Amino acid sequence: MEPIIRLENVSFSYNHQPVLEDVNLSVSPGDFLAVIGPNGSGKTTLMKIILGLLSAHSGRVEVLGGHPQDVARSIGYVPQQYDFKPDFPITVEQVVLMGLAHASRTGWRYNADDKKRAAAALEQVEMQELGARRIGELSGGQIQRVIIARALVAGPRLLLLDEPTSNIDPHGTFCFYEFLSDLNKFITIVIVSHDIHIVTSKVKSVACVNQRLFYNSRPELTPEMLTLMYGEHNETCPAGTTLNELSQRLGYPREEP
Amino acid sequence: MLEALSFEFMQNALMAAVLASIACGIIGSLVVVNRIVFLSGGIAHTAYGGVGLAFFFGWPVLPCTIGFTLAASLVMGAVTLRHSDRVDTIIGVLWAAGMALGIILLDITPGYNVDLMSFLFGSILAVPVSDLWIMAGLVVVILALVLLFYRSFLVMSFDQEFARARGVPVSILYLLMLSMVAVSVVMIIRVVGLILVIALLTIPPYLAGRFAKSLGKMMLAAIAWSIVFCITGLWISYQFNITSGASIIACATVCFAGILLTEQMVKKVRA
Repeated sequence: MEPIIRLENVSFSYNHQPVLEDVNLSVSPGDFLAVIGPNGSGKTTLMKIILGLLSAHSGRVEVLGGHPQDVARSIGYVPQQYDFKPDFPITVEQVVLMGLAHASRTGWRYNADDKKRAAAALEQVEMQELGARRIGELSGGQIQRVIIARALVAGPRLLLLDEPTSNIDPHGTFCFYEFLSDLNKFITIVIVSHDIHIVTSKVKSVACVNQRLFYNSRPELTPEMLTLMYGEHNETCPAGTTLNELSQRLGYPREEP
Repeated sequence: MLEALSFEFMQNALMAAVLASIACGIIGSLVVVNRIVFLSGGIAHTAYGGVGLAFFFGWPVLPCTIGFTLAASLVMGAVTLRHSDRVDTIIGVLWAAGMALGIILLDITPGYNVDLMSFLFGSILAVPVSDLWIMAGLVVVILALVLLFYRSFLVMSFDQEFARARGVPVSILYLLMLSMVAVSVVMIIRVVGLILVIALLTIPPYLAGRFAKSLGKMMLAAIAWSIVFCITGLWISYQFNITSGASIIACATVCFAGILLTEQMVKKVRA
């Protein structure tokens, strides 16, 4: 089957500093991939390349069988919410309707069909009752769900989430990962995160990024991945101890350095 | 008040106030939700450089000032879109440089010049009918642009990153928004002065935005607040013989502070 995302020998640099080097990745339809990497590892750059917001300096990028910029509308994008404006005058429904925006749509109003789709997307995230609320009245976890509904409203084939765990409502009864796992029956999902615990949720495969990229088609971190992300550490160094414990827990006894 | 309304200058002042309120309510709402109040202040002050340029070379004032201010706003916009960490410094530099350029050029221009005070505070009580027509035209253009691109402006203002990913032309819209700020500021400064423009761009939209459920409703409420401030201010200015621009701003500021203080007190009582 045609892969949903195909990266071949992709490289990218900022001001002559290499950020991504010779990255290869192939995501099959139906996959639920976690892309993990520490801060500054290039995972955000990788995501922007897939979204067509940045162009790779070399290599080939194919998303949904086309050039990223041409298929951007078929990708459901859930951006990181660090610059979210809680005082913005907008209702939940209007936020979801933004997911239908594109360059050639002008005008003031949305039609009945758009509103029906927004209602359906809100129902998917169990937020149908809150459509008329102002966005700032919602809790962090609820906002996260609205932003996911916004990504789903256009009926995407690929869902891309940037650091989604940062805003999960601790008291919520809505299980975010359960929800993504259900959604994964119809949509290919890629989650980008710095949090390696995401591997223990229902993801199907893992990629680790730190300038280079290692891929595992099973949801397990290999010792090479841990070394790629955190470097080599001595047993006596605190990071070394932690890494040792971690790889034991993951079932990979680490070799003595 | 009724006898005041029989004067033509007062009728013109009210018309000017309503037109400026509509323009500032729409543009100001975009300015406030995009958090570019500082940038707009920069654009407005830089305009004085254009005034100086026009007088020094003997060019027609309005087109020259608009051209100069548009150029300055596009420079600031390009800087904002490219190096977002240096933005405030560069706006500060252009802000100061534009004003200094205007003052120096007016200093070395022989003969009678506009003074800084009329640029700062304008003269809403001396608006000629021709200026009212120009302002009406401006309001129509702003309304048309904002209605046409309303949804794109909304997405861009709420979440630039998402808007880009959806293929919305964020850079073009951003520069269009700054151009609208530049042109409206120049047009309205002639009538009500720089200080009143900044006050009308910020206070009514802020008050309007606290509970509004959409950007459009925020714009309408901002226009309403703005008209209330202008009419009350003009009345006070007529009754007590105070500078009109300053009296409108005083009105808005007192109202602004009163509402914020009451809210704080209500919060405390409830807690």
